[in-house]
Amino acid sequence: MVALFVILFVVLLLGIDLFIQARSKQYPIMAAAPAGQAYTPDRETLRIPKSVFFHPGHTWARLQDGDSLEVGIDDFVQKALGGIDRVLLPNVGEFVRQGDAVITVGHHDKQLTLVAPASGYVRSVNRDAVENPGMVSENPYRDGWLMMIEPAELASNLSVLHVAENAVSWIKEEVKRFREFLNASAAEPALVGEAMFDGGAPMAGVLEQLDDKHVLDFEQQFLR
Amino acid sequence: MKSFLSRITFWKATAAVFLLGGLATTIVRFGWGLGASTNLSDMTPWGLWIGFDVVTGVGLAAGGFTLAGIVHIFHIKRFHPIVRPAILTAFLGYCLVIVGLMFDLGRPWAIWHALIYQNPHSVLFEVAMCVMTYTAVLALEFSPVVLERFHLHKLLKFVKAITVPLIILGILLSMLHQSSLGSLYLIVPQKMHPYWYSPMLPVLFFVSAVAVGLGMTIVESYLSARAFQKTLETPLLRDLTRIMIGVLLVYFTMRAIDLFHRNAFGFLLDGSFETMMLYLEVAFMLIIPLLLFNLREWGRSRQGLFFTAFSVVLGFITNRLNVTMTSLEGYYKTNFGVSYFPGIGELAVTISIVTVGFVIFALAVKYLPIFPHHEEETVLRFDGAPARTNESASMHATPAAELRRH
Repeated sequence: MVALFVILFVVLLLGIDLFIQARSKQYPIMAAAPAGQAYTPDRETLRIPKSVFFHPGHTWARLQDGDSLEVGIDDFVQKALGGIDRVLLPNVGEFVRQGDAVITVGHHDKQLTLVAPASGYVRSVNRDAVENPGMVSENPYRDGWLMMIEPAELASNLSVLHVAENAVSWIKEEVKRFREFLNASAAEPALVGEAMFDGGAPMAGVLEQLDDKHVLDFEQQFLR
Repeated sequence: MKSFLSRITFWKATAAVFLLGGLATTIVRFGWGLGASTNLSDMTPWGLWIGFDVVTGVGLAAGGFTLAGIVHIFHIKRFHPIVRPAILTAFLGYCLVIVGLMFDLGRPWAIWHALIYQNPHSVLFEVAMCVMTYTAVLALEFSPVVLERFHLHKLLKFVKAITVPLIILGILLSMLHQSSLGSLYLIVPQKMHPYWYSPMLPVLFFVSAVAVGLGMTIVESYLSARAFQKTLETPLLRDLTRIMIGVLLVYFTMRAIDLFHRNAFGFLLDGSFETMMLYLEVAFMLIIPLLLFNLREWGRSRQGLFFTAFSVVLGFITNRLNVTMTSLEGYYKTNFGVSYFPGIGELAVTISIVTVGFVIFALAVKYLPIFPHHEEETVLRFDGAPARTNESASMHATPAAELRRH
């Protein structure tokens, strides 16, 4: 009877905690990411980690243990797409060159191809992220990394990447440029929705509202 | 005053109530003795304080030696970020076990007798020696965290130099007393229900402690993430969960073989309270974790891993309380016509000890380098600030620009 009492007491405390969390909505404890849809703690913000090197094509690289590079896509592109529900990566052992389009991500009927931020041999890929692409949206710079590269031309590769304050300024410019791009696309309101003309409307997921031609334009102008 | 009240949360207020209850009982316990503060008697001498505070508490603190062994002995370095939270849990756990023991011992001031008036034939002697020495080892294993915080580099260098021998000693002591806690119950086969009495108890106690030690690390990591945004990466936690489930499968295979060999399977359909408690134990410790971990989305999410590990912790608590209490209830009733249920004072002390554990863990995570350092990042707003007017020409001109720096 004592064991049952203790267990019921602990379960009661957990139940109270779940109730409090659900009411406050500060931490959605019950919110497991639905299939193919991103769990996005905050759709309206962009994260820029200080130690990450950003390629102008919105991929990133981080030095690991001095002899390998962790690679992924940045928060800007996954937010613009409205989440990630599929990921295609090069094979392990393949050589990728900086600037080559080798990473494909998609959300619903939209698909984007992104470039490698650095050259080198693919040593491993993040199978978890491939099988559960929601991880990329949830934390693109940690759990949502995509592949590990053994760098081949690190010094010259790094010279074209943005880091720290430089990366923050660059992302700010990219947000501004993206808004201008959407304004230009908005010459055809049906393509981006009326909300954009109301001012202050969220840009997260706005690519979903563009037609294929404009998505291709976005790819050419922002991801290369 | 208003800001003070706004900082009071439900859980802080609840913790304060629990601690006040514990304080009141402490006064009664040490002022008027065990009789005034507990429902213990000569017929039921071991109650909640032994069953939960000591036997369950030591098991829940097993993550320390498991993780230290994985990282420092087997050199699986990717689990390194988990070692500190696990050792903190272990150190706190053992300190609180000792506190719990001080409440339960009739003459707590004589606890040093185990050191001087040794009885090497007693299992309790082994447990006492191991718990005392392992707590000292844990203090040394945990000391680098404090030494780092206060920049005591010479001492830090010395402690790091003796880390591996310390870890080996810690594993040895843990293996001895985790299993010895099971050995304690080998002397009462006639009193225990066949589900839980087994000559294999020492081994079963050890293997289940390994599993729950990992589970506790996952639970704490999740709770720390909620409170302080300090946590471990999800893939790392999932690998820990995978190891935990592997150990649990080994454990339940051993249990099943053991039950089969002792012809205890025959009781499984008798509909008794003991059978229901065994089912509860298996459900929490095996069935629910297996189901949750294999659900595609839940098994990969931080929340799913938390509930998987939490279920294992619940199952472990059920198991230890089943061994120490449920299995003896039938004997007490049949032979003495009594049943034991903890008094309000016993409950208050146990709850307040657990509360103290949570509070100290929270303070340690907040002020000491327990979890890995999280990199600095800038967060910008990503909204379509007015797109049609001149004032929107630059994002820099809007208050949307830079929200915060971590």
